[in-house]
Amino acid sequence: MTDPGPPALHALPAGMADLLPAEAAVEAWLAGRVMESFALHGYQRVGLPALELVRVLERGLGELDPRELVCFVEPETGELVAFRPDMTPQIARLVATRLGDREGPVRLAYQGSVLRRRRERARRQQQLPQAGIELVGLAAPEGDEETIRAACAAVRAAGLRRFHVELSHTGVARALMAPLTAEQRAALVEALAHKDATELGRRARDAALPTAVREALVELPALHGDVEVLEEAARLLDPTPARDALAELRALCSAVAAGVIAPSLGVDLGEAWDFDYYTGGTFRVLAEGAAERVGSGGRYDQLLGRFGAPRPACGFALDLVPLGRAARHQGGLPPSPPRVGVLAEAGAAQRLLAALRAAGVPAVRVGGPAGVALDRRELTHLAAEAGGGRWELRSPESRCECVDDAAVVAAAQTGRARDEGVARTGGA
Amino acid sequence: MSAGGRDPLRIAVPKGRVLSGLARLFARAGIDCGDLLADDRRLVRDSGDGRLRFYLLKPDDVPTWVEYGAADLGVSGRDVLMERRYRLYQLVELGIGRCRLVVATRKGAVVPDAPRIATKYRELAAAHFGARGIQAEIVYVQGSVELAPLTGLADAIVDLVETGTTLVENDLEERETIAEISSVLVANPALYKLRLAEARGVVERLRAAVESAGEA
Repeated sequence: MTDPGPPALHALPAGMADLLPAEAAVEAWLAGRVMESFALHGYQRVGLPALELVRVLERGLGELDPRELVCFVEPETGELVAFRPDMTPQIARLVATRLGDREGPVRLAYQGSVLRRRRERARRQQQLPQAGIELVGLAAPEGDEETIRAACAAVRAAGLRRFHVELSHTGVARALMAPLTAEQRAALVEALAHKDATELGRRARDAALPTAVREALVELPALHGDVEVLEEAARLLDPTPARDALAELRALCSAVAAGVIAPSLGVDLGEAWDFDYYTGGTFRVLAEGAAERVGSGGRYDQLLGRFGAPRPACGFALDLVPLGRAARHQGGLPPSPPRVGVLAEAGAAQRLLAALRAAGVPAVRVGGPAGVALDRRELTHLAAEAGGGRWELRSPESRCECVDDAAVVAAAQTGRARDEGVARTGGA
Repeated sequence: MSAGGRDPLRIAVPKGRVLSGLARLFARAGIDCGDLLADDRRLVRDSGDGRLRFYLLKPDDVPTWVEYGAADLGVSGRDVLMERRYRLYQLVELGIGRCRLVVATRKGAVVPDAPRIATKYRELAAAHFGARGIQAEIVYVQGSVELAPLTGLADAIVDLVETGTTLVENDLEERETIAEISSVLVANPALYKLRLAEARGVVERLRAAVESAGEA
């Protein structure tokens, strides 16, 4: 047998990854823009713990598949603890147990990572950065409309211009399948989630359902597209117990369309991949440049009740990785701002550095004593010394050049020209 | 919402035995699939009108391409979809590449209480025997599965059978059918919605072609 050698130092737990400066800057910018937008809509930021008791999560999410969680037994208490796979149950716990006496709507925002293991799938365990909001205490349709409005504003703040909002209602499929056992429902939901009409038809054939209900159920995978689909849906669903859910969805569609909240709006009557805790309207945001949804949300009127403080609620979360992909694709990400390397003797350098930093320009000192008329090789070397990337080199006495991207910037000849230099950097 | 006719719709298709049946189905559906069957080694082939672009892949890899969004649509065997639980739309059962997932043993063999099962389908085999209260030991093999019972590697196999000839030629017999399999048109859920008009055009034409074939 060959010697396995020392353990690899580059190894990480499955699905984990570092972010290097360029990627970290994008994520921080996106999170900042999105959280600022949420704050402008009245959502106050809260902090949530990375770990949560599994029994608390299960109270919100229903029975969890341990294969899809990262969990362990806490040695001191013997409690099963998991890295959060979703933050909404945490918010429900927080509001029910700590803000239960607040009157009127509670608007909270959060940002952090969730961890989901996806067994035997193309994408394995992943740490997913999210930013989201929860609106507790406002019922449908006002709460839903407010949430969708805040969601779309956040998506725009992240630099997206072209995106699509799709609305659904969990009550549609739920009402149709109400007479069935949990096992039968699970089998049908699985086929429905995949829009697998053939398999859904096979599985519905033996289900004890009235004819009109069965016919509507097997048509759900086809009922998606423009909001005009609602007309066809009404023909199928009005004679069934799903009639009320459809009426709610139509009202929500009208409100969102009339408010011109999203650039593009659609519906999907057969959406069944959302979390179990949703009870009403759900929605997701899709955008060119991302091969998965950039965000999703919905109404969950039963969830706070499971934590002992029944209140209507709805929420929304953005997935920052696909959001960043879409923003980059659509040209919405800002160019990374130039940073300045100051080349000067100590006293002058510190004054110039202070002025630059006060103006919000990242600046570090490079080189030794004041350098004059450096050649390109020396400039490149100094840029590398300052940390690589896009740098502008600046000195009070000599020419200033921008290296790496090869642009040349005018000189700041004297200490007097500092202010001018600062202004130039801001606009570079 | 995206402007139609800009980029071709990308369809991941399996190299090998299903491809000719797929080309015939496209022809029946009135969809131009260009030189999809050309006898060369190009892995990317465009339709004559430039609206479709086909990626030729190993069959097991098709769902991966689609789930990651490197292709918008794909054609995959239901066996792969059942085994690996992808988050994909499974829009049309295409009626091509028909076969069955079966349990087979040597002729007349007595299967022990805790059998060893050689298979490429670890999840499906474990679920099948588990549901019958049988604690099977699953041995993962990638090919020549039929050899496993003949050489003592396993008591039985779980594998795809099209005509059964390979089983007979290797002195094996079919004991149980686990599932009927055929090829399925799959779609990346987000990309399908973003290119709904174009994608739906392909889906509806294929569905109509499959249904007319069923009636014929």
